[in-house]
Amino acid sequence: MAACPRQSWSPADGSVSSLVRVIVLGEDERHQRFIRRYLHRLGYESRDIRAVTAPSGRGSAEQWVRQQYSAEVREYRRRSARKAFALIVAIDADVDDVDRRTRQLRVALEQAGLTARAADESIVHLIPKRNVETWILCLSGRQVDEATDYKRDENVDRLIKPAALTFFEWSRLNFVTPPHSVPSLSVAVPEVRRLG
Amino acid sequence: MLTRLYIDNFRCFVNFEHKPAARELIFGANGSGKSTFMDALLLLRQFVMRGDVFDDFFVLNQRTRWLDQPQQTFELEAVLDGCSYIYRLVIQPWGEPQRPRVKSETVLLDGKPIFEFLTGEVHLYNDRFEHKVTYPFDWHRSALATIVPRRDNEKLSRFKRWVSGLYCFRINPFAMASRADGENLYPNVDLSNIASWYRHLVQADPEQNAAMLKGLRASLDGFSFLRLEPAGENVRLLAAEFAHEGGKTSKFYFSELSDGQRCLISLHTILHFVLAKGSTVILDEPDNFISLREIQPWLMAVTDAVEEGEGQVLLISHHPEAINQWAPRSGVQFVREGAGPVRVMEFHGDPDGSLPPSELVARGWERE
Repeated sequence: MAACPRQSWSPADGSVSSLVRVIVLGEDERHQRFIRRYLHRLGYESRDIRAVTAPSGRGSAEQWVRQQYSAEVREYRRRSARKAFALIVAIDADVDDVDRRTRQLRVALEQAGLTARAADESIVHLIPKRNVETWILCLSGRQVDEATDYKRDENVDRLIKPAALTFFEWSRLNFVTPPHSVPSLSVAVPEVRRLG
Repeated sequence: MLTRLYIDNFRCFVNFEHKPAARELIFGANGSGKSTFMDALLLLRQFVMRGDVFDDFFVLNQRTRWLDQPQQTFELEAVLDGCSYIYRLVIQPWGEPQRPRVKSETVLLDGKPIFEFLTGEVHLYNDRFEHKVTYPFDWHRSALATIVPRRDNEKLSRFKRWVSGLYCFRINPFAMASRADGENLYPNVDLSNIASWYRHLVQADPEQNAAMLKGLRASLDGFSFLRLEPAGENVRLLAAEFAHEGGKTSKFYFSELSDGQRCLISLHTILHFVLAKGSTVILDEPDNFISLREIQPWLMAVTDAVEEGEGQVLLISHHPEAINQWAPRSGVQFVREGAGPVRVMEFHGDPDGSLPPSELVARGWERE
C-alpha cells in the first residue's frame, strides 16, 4: 500500500479535552515539582494537574499566592459541586509561623466575601516552614530546622522526587512520623488527606 | 552537557558567546537570532558527523553582512563524564573563485589537544595526550568526521558520540509521512522521517517505548498503540490505534492524524527516547500546533526529566505558557539593537510586580 497522503482534516479519534482535576497554586517551581510528584504517586496524571505559579518567584511570591487564593477558592466552589476537584495551596511560612499563614488565608477569604474553608472541602493548605526546601531535605533524611534558609542547598532539585515519595509514605494513615520531622510537615500530613 | 557556544561572523552572530544551563528557555523578538542559534549548532553537528565537503555557497554566504571579515569561528564546549571538551572550527575563504576551507579544527580535553587539523595536516593524539601520527587531509571537510573509535582515542570518540547526540528539532507536521522504508538512527530536524526513526527506536529501546505509549494514552483520549504495519518488502507504515467503548478499535495512518496529534506524538517521542537518555536537545518552537491544554503537562514532564536526569534542553519559544513556566527560573532573551549583533540577557522579570512574565514580554517591559 502506498503511503497515505496528508490531509487537511483529521479523521482520527483522540481529542484532548479532558478536565483538570487539581489546581496547584504555588510560590515557585520547586513547590510545583514537589506537589506534582506527590500527586503522581497518588495516581494523578500530568494532565490532571494545572500549576498556577507566582510570576516573579522573588520576594512577593507569597503575597501573590494569598491574593490569588480567594479567586481560586471561588472557582473551586463553583465546580466542585459538579465534579471531584481539588485545590492545593503551597505557601512558605518563611520567618512567620504556620498558624499566621493559615489566618492570613482565612482573612483573604473573608475580604473576598467568602466563607471559611469547611472541613469537607478538598482545599489543601501546604505551608512549609521555613520553606519547601526545608521539607525536601527533611524528607530526604537530613537533620534540619525551621529557622535556617536552605534555598541555596545545591542538592534540593535532585531530591524533590524522592522527597515527594517519602511524603506520600508519611501521609499514610497510622504512619508514625520519624523524630527528625519538622513541625510544619506534621501539620501537612492531615492536610493532604483532604484530597480524599 | 553543552556548556558554551561561541560564534563569530555567522549571520547576526558576531563575537557571540552563550553558556546555556541544563534547562533553558530562549525567547526574543522576531529576527533576534533564536533560530540562527540552532542553525549554527546544526551546521556544526552535520559538519562533524557527516564529513561532507563544504557547500561553497552556503557557508561563505552566511558570513555577517555588515562585517568585512573573511574568517568564521565556531566553538563548542561540553562537560562529559567530568571532563571538559572544547571543539574549535575556523573557516576561511581561499582561492579564486573563493571556496571555504578549514583553517583549523581542534579538540581540547581539559585544555590539552587530543585532535588537531591545522593548515591541511591532521595531528592525532592518544588519550594520554601523546602525539601519535600526522597526515595530510582535504581542507574542505571535517577531519574529525573521519576519526573512527579505537582503544587509544576513547576520549575523542566520547566527544564525537556526544556531538552525534546533539539533537536539533524544528518540528514540521506537514513534512511527516507514515512510510518507513528502513530504520533511521537519527531524526531529521523537521522530523519528516519520524516513521523510520521510530522504527529504529522501538527496536533499540522497547522500555522507553512503553513509557512513551503510556504518556500518549494520558494525552490523547482513546489512544491505544502505535504500530508499524507491513506494506511491501521491508516497508512499514506508522499507524495509531484508538480504542472505543465496547472494545472496538480504529486505526489511522500517521499522515491521517491532525497536525497537533502528530506534533504531540513527536514531542513525547523526544521526551522519552532522547531527553530521558541524557542527550542535549534544542527545540525551535515545539509548541506550534499544540493546544494550550497540552503545553504545560509536556513542559512539566520535560522539567522533571532534566532536573532528575542527565539531559539538557534548550527551548526556543514565544508561547506565553512556556514563558510563564520557564522564564522566571530559566529564561534568557536574545536581543539585537537595531540590526546589530545578537546579545544574550538573563530574564529577571519584575520582582515587585504582579504581571505574569508573558505579559511583561508582551508589553516590552521586561528589559526596563
